Amino acid sequence: MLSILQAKKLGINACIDKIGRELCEKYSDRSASSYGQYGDVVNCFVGLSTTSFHSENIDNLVLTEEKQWDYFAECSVDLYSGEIIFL
Amino acid sequence: MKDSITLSSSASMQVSLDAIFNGNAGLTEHRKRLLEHVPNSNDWAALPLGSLETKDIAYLSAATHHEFAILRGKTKDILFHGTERHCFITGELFDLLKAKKLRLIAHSHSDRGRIIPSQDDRDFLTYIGQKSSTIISYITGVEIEFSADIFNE
Repeated sequence: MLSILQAKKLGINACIDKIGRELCEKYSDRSASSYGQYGDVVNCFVGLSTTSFHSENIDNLVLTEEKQWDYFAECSVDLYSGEIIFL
Repeated sequence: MKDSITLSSSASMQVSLDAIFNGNAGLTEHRKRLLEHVPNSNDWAALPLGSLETKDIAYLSAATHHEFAILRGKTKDILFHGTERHCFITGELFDLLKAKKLRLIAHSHSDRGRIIPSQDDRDFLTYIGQKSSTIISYITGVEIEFSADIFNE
């Protein structure tokens, strides 16, 4: 059985490969990944944004549910079999 | 046995959140007191260090249908009450985050299925120089960890 961290590593890398490693490296400073356990699987996500984040002279920070990733991939990794299924 | 206990805890949390979300159950006294500190959107309160758990904001969110966030400094926890879709942080809290005197421990989402971080969530981490943080769904109780560095394995 995979550990959650092992599954995370498999899943995030699979998502990076799905999007394209070169593209991910190009927008690595505008990317995010996530993982979480849902029963017997670990769901993994990688998202890229091509929009720059201008942090100069801002006076606020926002946490929001509004997601508009330009490129993304999601997969589930089965903890028992290691099978990866893209969502 | 351990796995069945874990699953029961997850299932029972989802049942609890669902009941509170739909108005069929109320918050515990402890969480009612937490909410009394931040009764309205954009309210925030400093509480004793370590007094907030990620699950607390899931329950507060289920009760109010608003996002909440937990920030943590060296001596205090900060509970922030957001709006239906945002936690918009300005003023003193923004200054503390900018000075890296606070960390983002967790915030809540209403995602029913898989929880996905937003670009704003990502930019938040980048701005305060933090690698990762937690998002909890106040519908399912599931927690995810998100990171601004996809190559950090």
